[in-house]
Amino acid sequence: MTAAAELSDIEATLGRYSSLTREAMQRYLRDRTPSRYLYDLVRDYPSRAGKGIRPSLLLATCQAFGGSVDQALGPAVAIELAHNAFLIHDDIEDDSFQRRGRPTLHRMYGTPVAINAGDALAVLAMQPLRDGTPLGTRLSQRVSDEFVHMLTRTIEGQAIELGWRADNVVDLEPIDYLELIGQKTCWYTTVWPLRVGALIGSAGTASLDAITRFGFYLGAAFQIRDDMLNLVGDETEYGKELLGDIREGKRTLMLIHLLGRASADERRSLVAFLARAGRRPDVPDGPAPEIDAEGILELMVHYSSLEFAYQFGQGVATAAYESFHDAFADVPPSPSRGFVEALIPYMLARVS
Amino acid sequence: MSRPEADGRARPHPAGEFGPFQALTALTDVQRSGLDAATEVVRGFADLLDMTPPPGPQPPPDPADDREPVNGHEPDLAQLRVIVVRALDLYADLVRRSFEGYADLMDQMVRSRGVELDSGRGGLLALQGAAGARATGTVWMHNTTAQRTSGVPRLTDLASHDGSVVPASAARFQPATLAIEPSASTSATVEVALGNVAPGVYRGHVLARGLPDAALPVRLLVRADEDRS
Repeated sequence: MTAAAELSDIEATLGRYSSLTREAMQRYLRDRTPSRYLYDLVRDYPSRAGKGIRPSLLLATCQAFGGSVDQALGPAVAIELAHNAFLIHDDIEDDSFQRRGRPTLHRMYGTPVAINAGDALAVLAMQPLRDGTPLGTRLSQRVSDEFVHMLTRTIEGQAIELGWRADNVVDLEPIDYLELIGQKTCWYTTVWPLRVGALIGSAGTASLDAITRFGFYLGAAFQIRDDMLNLVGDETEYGKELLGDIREGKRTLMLIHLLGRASADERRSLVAFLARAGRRPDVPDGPAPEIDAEGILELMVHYSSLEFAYQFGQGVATAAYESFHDAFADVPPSPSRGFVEALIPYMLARVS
Repeated sequence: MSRPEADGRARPHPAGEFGPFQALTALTDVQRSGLDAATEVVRGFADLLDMTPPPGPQPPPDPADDREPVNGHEPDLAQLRVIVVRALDLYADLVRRSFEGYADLMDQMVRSRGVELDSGRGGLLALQGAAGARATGTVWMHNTTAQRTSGVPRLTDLASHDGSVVPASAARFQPATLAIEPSASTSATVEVALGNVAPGVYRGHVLARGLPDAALPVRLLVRADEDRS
């Protein structure tokens, strides 16, 4: 099978799981009022076609461990709603222009109502977990506990990233980046879906340590690729404005690599650019930086920072392969198990 | 500027190029640094997990672990374990829900006293009036059940010790019918016409058509006409 065919197979499976989740989510969100100032906004991002990696990973893992889609659909809806809540607030924090190919919610409706819609999605995300019928009380409680834990970790990670930008922290190493994305991305993108899928599929009997390790590696590969797509992806496919991460001063692997390789003059310009990008409202603008986002991308190409990130991501993916076989050692071969394994190369090959 | 490929090089990396079959020894230095850094972070990452309940007493070794394959197949104990755990969960939920349902029923029975009548001042409706005039009072109806209910209050004949009677037809209730929501109360005014009624004390009951268990004792004091005020 060719690489392109593998990619399209994975995306077709993602599409099926995502479609199931989206239908359940729409059933859950419909007929709520007031629509004009709240639920129309709440339904907006979930109606835009995303990849659905999180619910797909959860549903497939549940099936691989012996459970059914119906058992895991509530948590799949919960994580997708929480994801959309995070997106709304992230877009405001970063003042992003585009999300999934369309204007961001706060650009369309204004920041105050967008913040409120994000709050509503975060609260609504808890509700599908409260119906204990499909899972039983014990497992439902466990899944809810895991959900709160995941939200906490994600918010803590986001706080660290915002803090680095506000304080213009530049003395960072790749390991700092991995620790950051372990919190802000991996918990809710891969670790929680994998853990909860395994818990539900195994009725709470699965050992989760190896699952957690695998989730971290898989999520790290996902985020590294996401950061790269923000620089060199196809804007139509990627759905967000390119170079947004540079303009916002995000501490990506490429930026950290560049900061370590740039000449003294280049580094000084970079630090000035980052100071301006992350400045707090109470801090006056300094002089205009000597470099812009396009110039920084040129430096990244010049110093092979993108190549570094790709190679580094391949190392992380190698760790993911190793840990997958630990995590799924007791799981018999099945299409859903194969799908989860195929997500490892997909994370570094995807174009959107 | 022209955009580079996603990896910063001209050649795209197809999916699956880098898979589990690539020997770890073939890793480049950067790939190795990625693997090592990620492995190091995972050690600390796992320490953040405080979701797992504290370990209890270690179970004895499972003798099934040493079992020989049966007909060349390992018994699928993991699957069996999942089925048993799931069944126990369902059974535990069933027991819990049955208990809660039973407890709710008992609670309702203990709290529910059906539909009750009273005067607002206790279990006796005390009326008084001058002979030839009218006696008025208030009857309260309390619904302690979980269903909406209604009743038509009526007065029985009121009798005195010497056999004199104030006929039931002398009483009027306003409103004539009382409809009550669950766990709610409502009232009606009762008015008894005392024309041609001899002074004395008369006794009887307020009943309610449609509510066979509801009854409120009544004591009517009829004063002599000259006491009329």
